[in-house]
Amino acid sequence: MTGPKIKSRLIFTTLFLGGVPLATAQLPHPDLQTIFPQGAQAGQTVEVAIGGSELQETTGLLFSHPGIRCEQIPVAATEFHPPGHKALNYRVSVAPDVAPGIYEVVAATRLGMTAPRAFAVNSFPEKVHRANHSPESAEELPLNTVMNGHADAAAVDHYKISLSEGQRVIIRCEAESIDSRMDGTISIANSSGHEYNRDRDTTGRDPLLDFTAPKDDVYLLKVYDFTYAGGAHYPYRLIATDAPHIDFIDPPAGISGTSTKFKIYGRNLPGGSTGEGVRLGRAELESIEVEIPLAENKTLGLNPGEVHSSLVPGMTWCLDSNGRRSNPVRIGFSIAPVIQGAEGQEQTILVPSETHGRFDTKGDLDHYRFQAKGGQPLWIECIASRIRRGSDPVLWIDQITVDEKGIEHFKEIAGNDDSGGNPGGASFPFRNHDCSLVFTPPVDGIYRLRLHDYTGGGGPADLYRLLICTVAPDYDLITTPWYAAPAKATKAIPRHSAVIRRGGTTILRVFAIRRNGFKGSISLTVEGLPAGVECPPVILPSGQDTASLILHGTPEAHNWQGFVRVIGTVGDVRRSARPGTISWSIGNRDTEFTRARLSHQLPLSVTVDEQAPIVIQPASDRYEVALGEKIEIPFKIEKAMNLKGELVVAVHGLPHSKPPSVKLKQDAVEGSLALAFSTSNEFKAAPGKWTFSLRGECTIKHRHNLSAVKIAQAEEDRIIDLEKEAKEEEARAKAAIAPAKQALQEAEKNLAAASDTEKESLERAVAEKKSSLAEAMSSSASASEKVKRVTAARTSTSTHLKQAGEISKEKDRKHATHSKLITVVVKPATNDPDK
Amino acid sequence: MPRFLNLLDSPVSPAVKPLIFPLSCLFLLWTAQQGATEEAGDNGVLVTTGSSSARVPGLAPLRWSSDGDILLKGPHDVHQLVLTHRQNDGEDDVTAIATFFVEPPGVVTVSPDGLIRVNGNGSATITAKHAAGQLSRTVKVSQADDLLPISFPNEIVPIFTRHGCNGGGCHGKAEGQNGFKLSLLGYEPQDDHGYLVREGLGRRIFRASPGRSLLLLKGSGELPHQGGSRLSRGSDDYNAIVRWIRQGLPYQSEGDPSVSRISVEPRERLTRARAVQQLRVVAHFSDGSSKDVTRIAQYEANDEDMAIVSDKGLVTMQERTGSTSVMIRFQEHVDVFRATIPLGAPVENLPPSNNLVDQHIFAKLRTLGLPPSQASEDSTFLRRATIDIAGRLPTLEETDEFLDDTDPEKRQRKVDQLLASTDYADYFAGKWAAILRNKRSSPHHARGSFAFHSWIRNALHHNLPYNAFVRQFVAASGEVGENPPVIWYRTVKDSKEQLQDVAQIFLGQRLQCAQCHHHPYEKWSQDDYYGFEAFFSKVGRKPGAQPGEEVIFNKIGAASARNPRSGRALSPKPLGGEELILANHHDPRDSLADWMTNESNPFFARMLVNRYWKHFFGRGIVDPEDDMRVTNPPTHPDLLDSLARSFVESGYDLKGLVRTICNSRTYQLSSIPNEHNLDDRQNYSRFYPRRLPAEILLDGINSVTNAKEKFNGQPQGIRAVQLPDDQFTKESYFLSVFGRPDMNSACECERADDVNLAQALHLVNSTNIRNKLASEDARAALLVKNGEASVEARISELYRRAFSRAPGPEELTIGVQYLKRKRTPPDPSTLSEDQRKNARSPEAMAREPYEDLIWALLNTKEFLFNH
Repeated sequence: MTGPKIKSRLIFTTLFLGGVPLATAQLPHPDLQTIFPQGAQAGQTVEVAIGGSELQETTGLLFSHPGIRCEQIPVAATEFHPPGHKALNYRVSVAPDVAPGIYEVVAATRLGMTAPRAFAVNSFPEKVHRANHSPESAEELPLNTVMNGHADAAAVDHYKISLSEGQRVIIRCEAESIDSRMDGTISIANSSGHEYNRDRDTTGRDPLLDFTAPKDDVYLLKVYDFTYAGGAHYPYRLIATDAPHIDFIDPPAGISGTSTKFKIYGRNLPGGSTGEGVRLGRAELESIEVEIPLAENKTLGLNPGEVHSSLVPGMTWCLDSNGRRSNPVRIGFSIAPVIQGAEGQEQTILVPSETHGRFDTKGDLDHYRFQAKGGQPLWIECIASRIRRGSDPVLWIDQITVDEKGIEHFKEIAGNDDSGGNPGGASFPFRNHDCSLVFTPPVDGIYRLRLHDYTGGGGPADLYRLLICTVAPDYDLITTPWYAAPAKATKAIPRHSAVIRRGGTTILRVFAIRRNGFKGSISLTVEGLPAGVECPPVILPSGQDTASLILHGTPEAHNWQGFVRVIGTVGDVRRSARPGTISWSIGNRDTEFTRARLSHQLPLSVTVDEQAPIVIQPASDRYEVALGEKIEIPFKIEKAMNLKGELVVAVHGLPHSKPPSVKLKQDAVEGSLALAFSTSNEFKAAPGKWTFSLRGECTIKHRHNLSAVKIAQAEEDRIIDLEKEAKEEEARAKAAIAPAKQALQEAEKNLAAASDTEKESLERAVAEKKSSLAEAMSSSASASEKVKRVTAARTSTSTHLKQAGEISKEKDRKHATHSKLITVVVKPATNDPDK
Repeated sequence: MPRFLNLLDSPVSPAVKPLIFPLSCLFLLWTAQQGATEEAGDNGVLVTTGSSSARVPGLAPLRWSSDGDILLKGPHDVHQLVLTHRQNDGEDDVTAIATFFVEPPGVVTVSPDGLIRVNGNGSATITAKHAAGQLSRTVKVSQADDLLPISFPNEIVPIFTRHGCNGGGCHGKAEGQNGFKLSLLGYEPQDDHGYLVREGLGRRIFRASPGRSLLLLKGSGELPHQGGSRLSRGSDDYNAIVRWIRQGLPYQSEGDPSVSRISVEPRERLTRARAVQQLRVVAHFSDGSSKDVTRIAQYEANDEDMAIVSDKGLVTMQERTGSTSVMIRFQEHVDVFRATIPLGAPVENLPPSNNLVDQHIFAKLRTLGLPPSQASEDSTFLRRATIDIAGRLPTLEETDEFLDDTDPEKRQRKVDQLLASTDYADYFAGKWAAILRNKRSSPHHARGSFAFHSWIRNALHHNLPYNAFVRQFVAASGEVGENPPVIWYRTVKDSKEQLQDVAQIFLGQRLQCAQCHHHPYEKWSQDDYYGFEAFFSKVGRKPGAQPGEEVIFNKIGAASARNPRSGRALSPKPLGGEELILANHHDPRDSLADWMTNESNPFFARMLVNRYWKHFFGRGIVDPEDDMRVTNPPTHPDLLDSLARSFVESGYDLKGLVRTICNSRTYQLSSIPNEHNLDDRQNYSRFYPRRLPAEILLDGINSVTNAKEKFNGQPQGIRAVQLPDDQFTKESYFLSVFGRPDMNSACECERADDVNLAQALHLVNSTNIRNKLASEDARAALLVKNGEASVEARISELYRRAFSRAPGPEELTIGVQYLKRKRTPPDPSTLSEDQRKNARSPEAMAREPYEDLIWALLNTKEFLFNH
């Protein structure tokens, strides 16, 4: 997929607009940071404005749903400029059949595609807020209308809503779910200022108010970021609705392909009753029973929730009532058979089975008993924090022995708290607070399983699924574009997308979520690559949970923008990696956080118009070596920009704590690295296939967007030509005046000397000459005016050119780059007496 | 009328006579409460004889502090006599003025101050003679010639304590003094024995000639001693040490009992100004025996303005009216003597009690003869209650509406309105956030500190029962997103700090001392301390969702904390309770919350009602409010108990408690003293004015001047009282100079309530205040713009905004004169270039008189104080 040819007109309107620059060392990278409004009603068209970095030459917006399309907004031609279009505004049309949900949008730019940004579709009408920072300027919030706003720093947005006595509304402020940095808060007060309630973090980080008006009144809503932060990166979608709201669903899972009865707990439920007396915080929940057919998810909307929650197999479901759709909830797909947990007593469960239980009270400790065969490993997993954020289950296995008096004795022999850690670190943070383990019973016998919530949860919504089955190795993969940050250069984490500059590389980080006791290695490949982009398979080693794929452009590569897939293979089990992204960039990982989430597609862009600043080109990307031997890897250095200081090239991707490296002088054009594959090194090699790259770190004398200078220069040249033409025209026009004057004078002279018979014709001649002179003078004046206008246009283009020149001026920039992947096949040692 | 009536003088003057009845009634009530065997005769009807001591028929005028024979054992045993002369208007200690006779002589001697010493074996009768009569009792002496073995912990260590040898500033400090170390206040007698007998090869003791022991030579000042002469040669204490050395430095004999408690006689006394009271202190041992330790116990008066005490246990009352106490310490045991000194003025026309607060307060005022001030005016009440409940000044509209309201129930309605408003939640959330140390030590901690403040505010707004509030706080687990109270664990990281804060904030027990040694003023030992710490021993932490946040959880395993001195690992142990046996998965903090919030907990409800009492009255029933030790007794114990009981019975209803306090007539008394109660600081006979807290003062100035404060990162118009964490104290000079706390401590005392020069200068002479007064949209400008209102109306508006009352005629006259005074702009020719450049516009000049007037009002005590 390629974007339409960039129109030079754009340069003049948008070159110096754009998003918030981040203090990072990365090369300029396109990022769609904001799109406002961040949603639209199905069947409607809306004009959106985009913001971010490197968006000046955006050619279009691509949505994850084919029913959402964008078109450029035309700008008519002017005297010196051809017709064009608005650079940062688009018209977005949503087809009527697009189901309400959260979709994604990426911007296609000169440098490639951006990382995706959420874009919501709703069935309700939409509005965009205006300045409303005081109660006096409170804006009307009609019921069942989405208000698009964004929080401003140190300010509170005010809305008013008219409600009649007894009217119940659910007021939601969606922010986290649309990639907003806003930690939303809502409060509601009556017209006299008496506040009834305020809320935050009820649904993830987003607030929810369930309010029943005590009297007819115009109520005042306040909406703000919890710490009064704000700006364009803090968008929200506020809605007051009488649609149903689901708090939780019990049981949390059912068997796919069946139709199962579920109890829905929430508010405004059709025919709902609070008879069960279930409370969540201060809210009394209604409940209804609904039969739901369970089937694979066909909707295209993003799953709500965090990364691990989104990976749980299941479907997203909404409750429809009188044309109003509830918030979406997840229903998991169970493994058979399902056992319903019973509170207060030890329960016997079978292998395999899935038990649906609940931490009823704080400090609850649920006991289960199961029979197991000695030596046969079992996979035991609890899904709780993936159902309700904040839960933190922990489990223990006790071996039961019975003494001669028939008394049972328990010995704790296994346990687990959190499985998985945080493999993405601060750059792609995702944590699983659930517990799981592979349990190998020491002997045939009966075992006890104890399950407890570490965070002291306990209540009707604290549901869990307890899975126990024989080990059947499986895994999930997540992949995300990765930024090769120069060491110690920055604490920033930029939102990244996969872009290959001419001759360069880009990294895809892959995370493996191992399940059911799977420990083996995973072969990783990339599918859908365009011609001229390559990525050799990488083995994610046994026991590890991360690996990097390095995609590199060959000389055959051409400009390309499209979507690729990362595939993991273990024997016959193929898994497509779920793409992931972070919601926003941060400047300091020690004090800020970013949110990781799964996304629909993995964009890849190849931009041959801009060359990678430094390319490390190994002489070969394939070596063979016997265990215990060294290889020498010669490489060349291609530079598109000058270096400041030396270039350090190190081996990257092998489990060294101190990777071998070489320092090269700034003018070096080649180098060589020696790498030992021995069993005695700190990197203990074993026979097999190893992949790694050469990572270079240096300071480049970077020149940004030289093409913009060229375009600006071309535009200036064009205008200069026009100016020149206009001036020539002006000169010609001016020059025509004198002959006309002379002709007139001659005619007048002739007229004065003429006889009566000649007079008449000579008078006509004088009149003609006068007219010609007037015409020449008018043409001259008009030509002069045009010169003035074109000169003004030239001044403007010169200013732009100057600015483009400023931007492209050489600046020191810390930079890291990777060579393409090198594969080394390590063979057993030749002198190994055992071989 | 004299301020203090000396009822000891006789005859009773006619002016005093009306007092006799109520005082006598109280006395009778008191004696009945003491469980005395004597019964008040004739239903308490008095027999007035016209003499100085009106007698109650059937009651002997003289009595000993305890009955029965005195048994003395060994040559060095002593017994302090305490002789009381009962009168119908009180009791007097006459020990020092009575004359003692011993029959037969030779068995014991009695000193003029009533100390019996042994002379020989046998039995004798001691007769005390006094103007009111005489009284005898028997003393029996045994083993007078025997050399009884000395107990080092029971007899020698108390000598070190009494003479200050083992104090924290002397040999008792951790490193000792000049090479000689003793355990602090003798709490570790085993260690002390080792220091004396074994350390330095016993060089401090000369067994062959005890008097030449370094210990005694230095202690008596015979050799240079930095601490001076502490033991005079030949004194009882000196001799005791000599005897101990002679006996071979024993620790104690096998089977020697230990002290299980001490008691003081009398425990309580209704007395008079300048009266004296001899105390007798008895140590009760584990074997059931007891011993007089009056002369080796330690005494400390709580308030030396009210009573002083000698090292022999003689208490001398001072001039001030009220209740006071003397702490008595022996080894690790403490007891308290309480004295009430009445004024004795007529207490007439007390308003009817509105609730239990008034019942107790008025009863004591009657006892003391301390007439209360008048009820406060409506305007004063409105301003006071709005400040105390809602943390702000009343608005102009509120003032006008309240003052115009004729409903007799309007004060109650106002209290209800204020409690229902979010202003109450805002104000009290700030109060709790300070003691719960809601700090933002790094900018990215804001989410946590905001969330914690918001959680507190929400709990208060919805009137979450206090027991549930504390339970959710103390046993908090999870992440800040779901459970904001976990943020407390971010600031208060160490389990010792956690236990100390929880004990101080919710139980009023300051346990810090017991970390290193037995609490000097309480019964808490190191085992109590570490047993309490064990409740927090399983607090686990995991990384949270954002930098600077954590997941708090209960680690699995046995909860325990080690007493570093004994090395013993203690299980969780409630204060005064037994160690708990808890399951490994059980969160001990849940058990702590169970114990704390149990209705029978002796500390929990009393602490809270006392904290809130102090909030509204400026002084705790126990003061400091979070130091509720035995040795710091309440001024109104029954009130404290009743309030606590009522609080528990209400379901821990915090708003209900505020209602009870604010609807009492006591709270609504005027702060203007009458002729009797100017000096009253603890009986609530009037409202005690106090400076406005920093935030309320700043908000108040802003509301009067129509200024808006800007706090970093907060929306325009937020009031200082709504600020969530400590950050703004650093940022705002005003808040800092007026004492907003930095939230470093669990003690409310971190909030400075003093008045100092920096504050005065800031109010009188700062750009900050000047800008508030002189801005284009300031109150002065608005008043000037409001051409329709008369000058009088404008002045009235200002008074109603600042003081919640209309100006008096004189105030109005002065104001009008000042505002109407003709002002001539300065002659430009007399001005310098700069002055001309900075000269105010004519409009600005017109505002100046109003600015001056507002400035003057802001600097009045009436504005600066809650009164």
